[in-house]
Amino acid sequence: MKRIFSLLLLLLPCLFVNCLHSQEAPSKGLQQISEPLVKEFIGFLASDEMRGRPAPSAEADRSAEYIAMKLKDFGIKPIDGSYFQPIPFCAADLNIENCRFVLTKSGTNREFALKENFTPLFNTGNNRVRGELVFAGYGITAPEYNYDDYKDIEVSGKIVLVMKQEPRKSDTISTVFNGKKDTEYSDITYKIRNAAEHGAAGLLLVTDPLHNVAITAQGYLWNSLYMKGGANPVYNVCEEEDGNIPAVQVNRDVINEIFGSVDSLRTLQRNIDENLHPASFVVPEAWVDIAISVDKKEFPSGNVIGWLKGSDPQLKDEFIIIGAHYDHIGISPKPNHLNDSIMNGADDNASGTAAVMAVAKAFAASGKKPARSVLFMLFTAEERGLIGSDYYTKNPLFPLEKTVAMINMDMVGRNGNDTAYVIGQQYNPGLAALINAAIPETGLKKEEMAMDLYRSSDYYPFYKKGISAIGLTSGLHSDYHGVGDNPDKINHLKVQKIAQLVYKVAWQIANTNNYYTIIEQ
Amino acid sequence: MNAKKLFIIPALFIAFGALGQEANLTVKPVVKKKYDLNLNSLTDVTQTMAGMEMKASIAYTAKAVMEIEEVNSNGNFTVLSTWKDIEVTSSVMGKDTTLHAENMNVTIKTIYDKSGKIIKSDRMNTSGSTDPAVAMIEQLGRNVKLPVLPAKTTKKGDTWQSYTNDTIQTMEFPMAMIIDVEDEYSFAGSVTENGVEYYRINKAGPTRVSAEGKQEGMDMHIEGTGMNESYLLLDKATLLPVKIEEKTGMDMSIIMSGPQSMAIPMTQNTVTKIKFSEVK
Repeated sequence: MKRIFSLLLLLLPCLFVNCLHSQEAPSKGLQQISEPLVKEFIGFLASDEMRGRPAPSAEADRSAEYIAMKLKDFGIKPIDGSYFQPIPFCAADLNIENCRFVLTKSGTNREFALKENFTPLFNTGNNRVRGELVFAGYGITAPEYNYDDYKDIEVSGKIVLVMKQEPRKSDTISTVFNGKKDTEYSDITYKIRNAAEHGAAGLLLVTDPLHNVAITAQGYLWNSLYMKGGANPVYNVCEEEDGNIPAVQVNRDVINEIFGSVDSLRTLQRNIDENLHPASFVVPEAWVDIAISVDKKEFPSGNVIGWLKGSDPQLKDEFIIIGAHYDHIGISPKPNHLNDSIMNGADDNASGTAAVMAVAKAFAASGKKPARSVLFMLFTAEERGLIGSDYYTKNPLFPLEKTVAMINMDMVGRNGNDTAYVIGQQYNPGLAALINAAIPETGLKKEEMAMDLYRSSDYYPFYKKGISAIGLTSGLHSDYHGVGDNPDKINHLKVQKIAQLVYKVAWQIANTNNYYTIIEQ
Repeated sequence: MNAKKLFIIPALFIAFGALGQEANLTVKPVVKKKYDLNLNSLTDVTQTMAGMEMKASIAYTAKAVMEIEEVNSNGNFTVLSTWKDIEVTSSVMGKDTTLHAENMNVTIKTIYDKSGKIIKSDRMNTSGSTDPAVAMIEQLGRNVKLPVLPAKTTKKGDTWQSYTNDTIQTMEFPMAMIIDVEDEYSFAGSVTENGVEYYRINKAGPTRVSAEGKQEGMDMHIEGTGMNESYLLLDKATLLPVKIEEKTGMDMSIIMSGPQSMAIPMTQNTVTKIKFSEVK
């Protein structure tokens, strides 16, 4: 009897939560989401003055400030006093004149060619080092697998040569290193950091020869090595270098010089894999001299984030994210027949941004506080490869393990009055069921998309972190990424309907203690 | 929306490498002899865009009949390869699709010299060229070539080189791609497989690809370097191949410039197996 009573006690808070918080979105909030409201937001963000909001740019920053100002006006709170999550954007490029790689083997120097034989990795340090060469297997220290390539070898002040990937990559049923699926140990950034933590002065990376025939020095695709003429820079997130050690990928010519042949390295790899035992060693009479010079220019940009703190004593520490990206792709190099070259991005994604802002206003004006905390996130640099959302998931402001769901809106203002697509349903059955059930109430009709766009917008980095994340869109069109994506082509009624749908579903999620599972891709 | 696509770049670079102990490695085809050709290949592609890794695999099976139409007095010979059936199974970003087509009868007429070098190659009938299956099997057929042999007496361990330069275009990837293949062949002597003696040839060499053009309105530049490693078994009488197994690896760099400058690294690994059996 006591045991049953204890179970009831455990269940009680859950029942209590569901009873206390109405799952029906307050109509007061719903009424806030209107056509004129979204039209106003889209009109500003997709105006010619914003010049297509490429990130990073002054116009993207102005858009971010506008969004933050509106969130503040609605009563959405900043996080630690700020609506901005700064991202250290930079355009980095090699100073190719000052990059050198010399291998001294048995007293003979051989200088290798940049790009053909060696290419610096993106996370390389920016200096010159010289040291004895050590082969360090996969460059992995994995206590949970009782595997350490650095266990019996001293690499302090030396240059380590490590292979890409991880042991037993071809095992379909491997219990170590997750078989064919990558673990964090195959990540190149990890290998550089681990080498630096063991005191290595530099790192040479080589493609694992057991599973690859091409042993090239691809490294990072630096502008100066590939772009011809005045191409736009490739932006990325420039974080603190991992240990600041020079790190380069080398090709088969370097391996032939070190080991005599690629086959010798293949044999070493096969032995490591078979025995699951490291085989690190100092390469006899081999020294490496590497000089790397990278020029970096910083262009700060950032995500805009505001929140409404939850009201339930237990659930307030859990989070739901409503997101969209506010950047677009700027100016077209070729004007259209009307001499218009601004790719305003009214649909992509001023529409989604406006919808998030409208949902934020609705939550703030609903007259009730949600049980769970609700985060409103407007991401930067989605168009450069989901950089803003990816950055958030790697640098979260609230615990990801407490983030129960993410709903994203991207391109929600075209293709008629009522059609909508739900992206990622197959990987998020619980969250999809909620959305699909709410669609008819909002006057929308769900359609199925032939393409799988699940990696194409800001939900994806959240899903990769194990968070149920789903996207709403009204689909692609002929003005996508063109100068024709203008505010006058937006169907504001549709933006309103999709924002209302998200408001209703988000309210439901925010006021229950339900959790949503994901299905692995 | 950042509708990234996985670039499907022509994956098959099959140069049936030009080829005991000692043998006269000159092709000795017999007129009107026919061979069934069965090709299986599997390509794994990994592409990274701004830190996001996308994977795909593409498997081809194809069947053809190869007939020696004519042999001239100078040793040149004409081969009619009629490509009949193809099945392509692809798994791209979690989506599986299969294309299957039968009895397409795409015939390619190729004139070789006695060493196996191509003098001329043309498609005989051009009907259905806009059909993706026909275009695919034609491209496949054009990529499958006989090995280049030294056309002289050769000892075990001897090596020889060949160089080919092709330009290919596919419906999936319409930019012209230039492919340079440098191969070094070595004669590995006689081997016995299933009780039959064959000559074995090993082949390895670098491959380089390049392309320039426009894709979706953006300037695109592609360059890649790779390697192939293969072996062939040759029929001792005709010096025509009986079996070929080839591994090809390629690291490519895809550079797109314009408002959205992007640098996309891509790695392709392909295993191709081809068997020839004489039609009795």
